[in-house]
Amino acid sequence: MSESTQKGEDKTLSLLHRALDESDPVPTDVTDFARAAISWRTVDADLAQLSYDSSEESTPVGVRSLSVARMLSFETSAWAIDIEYNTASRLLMGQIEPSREVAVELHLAGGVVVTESDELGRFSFDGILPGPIALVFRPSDDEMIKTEWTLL
Amino acid sequence: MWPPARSSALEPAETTYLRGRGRLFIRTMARMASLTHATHGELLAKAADGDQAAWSALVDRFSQMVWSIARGFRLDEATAKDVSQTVWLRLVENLHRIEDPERLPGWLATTARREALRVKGVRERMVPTDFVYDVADESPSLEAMLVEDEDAKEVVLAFRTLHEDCQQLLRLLTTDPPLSYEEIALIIDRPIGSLGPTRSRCLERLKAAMTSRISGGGSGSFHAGDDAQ
Repeated sequence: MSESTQKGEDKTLSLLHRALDESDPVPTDVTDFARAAISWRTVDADLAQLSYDSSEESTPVGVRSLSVARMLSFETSAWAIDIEYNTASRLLMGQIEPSREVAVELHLAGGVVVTESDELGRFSFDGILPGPIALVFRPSDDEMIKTEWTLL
Repeated sequence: MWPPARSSALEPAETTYLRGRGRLFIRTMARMASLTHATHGELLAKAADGDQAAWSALVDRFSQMVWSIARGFRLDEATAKDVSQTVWLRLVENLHRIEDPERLPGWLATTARREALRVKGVRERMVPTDFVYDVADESPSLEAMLVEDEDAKEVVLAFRTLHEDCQQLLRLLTTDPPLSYEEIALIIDRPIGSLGPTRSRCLERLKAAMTSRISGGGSGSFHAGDDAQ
């Protein structure tokens, strides 16, 4: 490529860069949220990693999946958490294993809601809008399990 | 003698001011300046200890990059916001786990890509695909209103007429801080050697689209509503 072509391209690209920055800047609420996100820091949590996500299953070409439920699994070495989120009914149901009655915190971008699991480790939350979520369990005083932040 | 000769020394009143509130202000400014120049690793280490200023400096350093990656996947604004939020929350929970701090841009880019692709799969499955793109295609007129600079407006409108692969690549080439070709190749899942030629081709098309707009070509290649009558 000639030097002048290269210069022309660089000029076009920097013009585009400026134009995109002007027309589509990072929304202020995104940076405000990001700066505040440090308050979600949980130093001692045992992080349960996402191990399964039904949205990653491929749908055959030409077939539109009618299913509105999304299944997700999270695991630590000692615990497993399965959740199902229904995008139509906004219902989030889940189960922790080994099963036990325990307080379940649902962390959302806008705050925290709390419920209790039953003796089978099942729990549910109503009216959950799409967005990032994390579940936090404290099965004992010195134990805290947190699922990694996941976007519903 | 009045007025006293101005020397480089401060007036007594100003000196007093600096001893008071001003000194704290100067210290804060100096601290912010030092954070601006801190390495990714220094900021990560401080943020991992809960240092708000260091964390904010990280956000300021990379928020445009994360945003551009999300928008590069043609996510509408609400979905791009969700992806950005998720990326920052993921970084908060991984502050202690980033092994090579200088690769933080790559880590953020990979996380943004994964969340963008995943949410695209989930949300586009719920509505007809065309609907999503119709919404995205509404944006030129909105952008046209927001952009004051005529040139910039023309560039954005021309950009919108490009194939989505070109739009994505050009988005990734205009991040702050810039992504490396290696990182871009990973995000769009293409061989690194193809980026240079594709970049040239996309910029050539952008230029052609701009020229055609300016000369009022009305070639029909633009979306209905974009062309002034």
